[in-house]
Amino acid sequence: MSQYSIWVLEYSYVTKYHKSGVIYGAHNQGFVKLPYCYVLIKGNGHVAMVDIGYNNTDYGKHLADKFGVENWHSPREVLAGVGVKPEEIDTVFITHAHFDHFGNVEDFPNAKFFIQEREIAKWTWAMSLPDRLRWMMTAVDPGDIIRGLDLARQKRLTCVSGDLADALPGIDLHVAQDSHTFGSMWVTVRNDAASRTADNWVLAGDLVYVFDNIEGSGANVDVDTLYVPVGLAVGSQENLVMATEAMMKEVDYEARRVIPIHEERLSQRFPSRLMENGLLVTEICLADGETSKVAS
Amino acid sequence: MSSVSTRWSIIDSATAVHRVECQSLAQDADDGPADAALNGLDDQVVGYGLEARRAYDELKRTIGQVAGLLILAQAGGRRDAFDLPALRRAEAVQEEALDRVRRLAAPARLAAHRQRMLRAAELAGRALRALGDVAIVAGEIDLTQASNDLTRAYAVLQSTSESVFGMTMVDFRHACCTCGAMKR
Repeated sequence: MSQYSIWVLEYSYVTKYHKSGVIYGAHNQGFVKLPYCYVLIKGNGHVAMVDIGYNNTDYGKHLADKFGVENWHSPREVLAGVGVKPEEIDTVFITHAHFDHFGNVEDFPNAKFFIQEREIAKWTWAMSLPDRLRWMMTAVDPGDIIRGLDLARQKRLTCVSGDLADALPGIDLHVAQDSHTFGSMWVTVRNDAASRTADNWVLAGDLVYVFDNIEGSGANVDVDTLYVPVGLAVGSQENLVMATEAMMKEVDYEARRVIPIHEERLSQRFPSRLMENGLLVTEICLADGETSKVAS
Repeated sequence: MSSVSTRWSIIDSATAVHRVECQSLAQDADDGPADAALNGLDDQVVGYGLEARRAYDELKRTIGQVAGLLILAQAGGRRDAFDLPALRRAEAVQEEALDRVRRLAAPARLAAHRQRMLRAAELAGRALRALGDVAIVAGEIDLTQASNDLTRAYAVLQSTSESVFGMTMVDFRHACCTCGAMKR
């Protein structure tokens, strides 16, 4: 029995992104395409998202002109690819407070949001630091914090302290402190609702960008594969590696069940469809009774 | 502040984030307030912009910080949030920014810009002072005044954004999702 369908929805991309930004230490190894995506989880009476992208009105032109971010489409257009409207989203899990994950709350007027308290608390602390330490404010827009405040006043924001089981039935939240960010969060979908299940899916946020963060080459140390952390950590590489281990343990070390949303090659592992707007919909799994959104 | 010292401060901060081979560095070196984007602007405008940027950054941080504290109080149930030493630092930074804006010598055509910055600084100050008068209404912390002032402060400050001077709400040059993705 599968309770939930999961789709990874591309909403924009960068065509040439330095591989060293994705894989720690991969210097001078060229470029990869970096899709910007969020995740839709639907089933069990809920329509939920993991992250929500960014608001093109605020950032789009600057990102397009200066950084080559292309083909941004709104949540309304992107969600239409799987037959969902933004107003139907009832729950949003924010993996971390970077602008491209937490930058679009106003498009989801009926959703309740979850974020780690530590993510807010430590960004707040970082903003109080002198200029010489401002690197720790990387990629956070105070406007997103303001909009988070508005959510809080509407009682639509829950600050989670640590792990939380059954945020929705069968969906668990996990914290990875001081890793990619101060309070990064990842999400487990226990798709058969059992506490010990063989049908877990992990949605990794930015703790894992691509498959190679999980199945990196181990040739240099004479092993088949090893975990290689992402290229950016406000916290430590150690914490990123240990978060990867925790995610892998959650899926009984079946790497394909850890879903990296910046992975260009997701469509090689899962059924997918290129929409007319040039963006990919990737179908990770289908709930019982749900019809495929990628089948032709 | 001279353009030379500004250029070095940008490069210094960039090297703390990007790897040596990162194309962002090449762009940073040519893309800060000391670059060609400022050609044609008179010295008074450039001087104003560089100093205004410092105030903008201070206010941006103050607003973000106070908003975070309000979230912790409202959604996290952290009634102790306002006792944190960070709040005192926010007040100090806001006062510094307000003084800086008051001292700004704005060319005539930038007088309205300076006025908006002054308004943003004053609203941020009002939000901070409102935290001292937070009431408990029906068992709940009432942050209405502080939240409203802060939201307006952000909106006014956002209206003063000017990318030529690096006055942007997010410094994308330091963002993980843009590193090395400079458009060529």
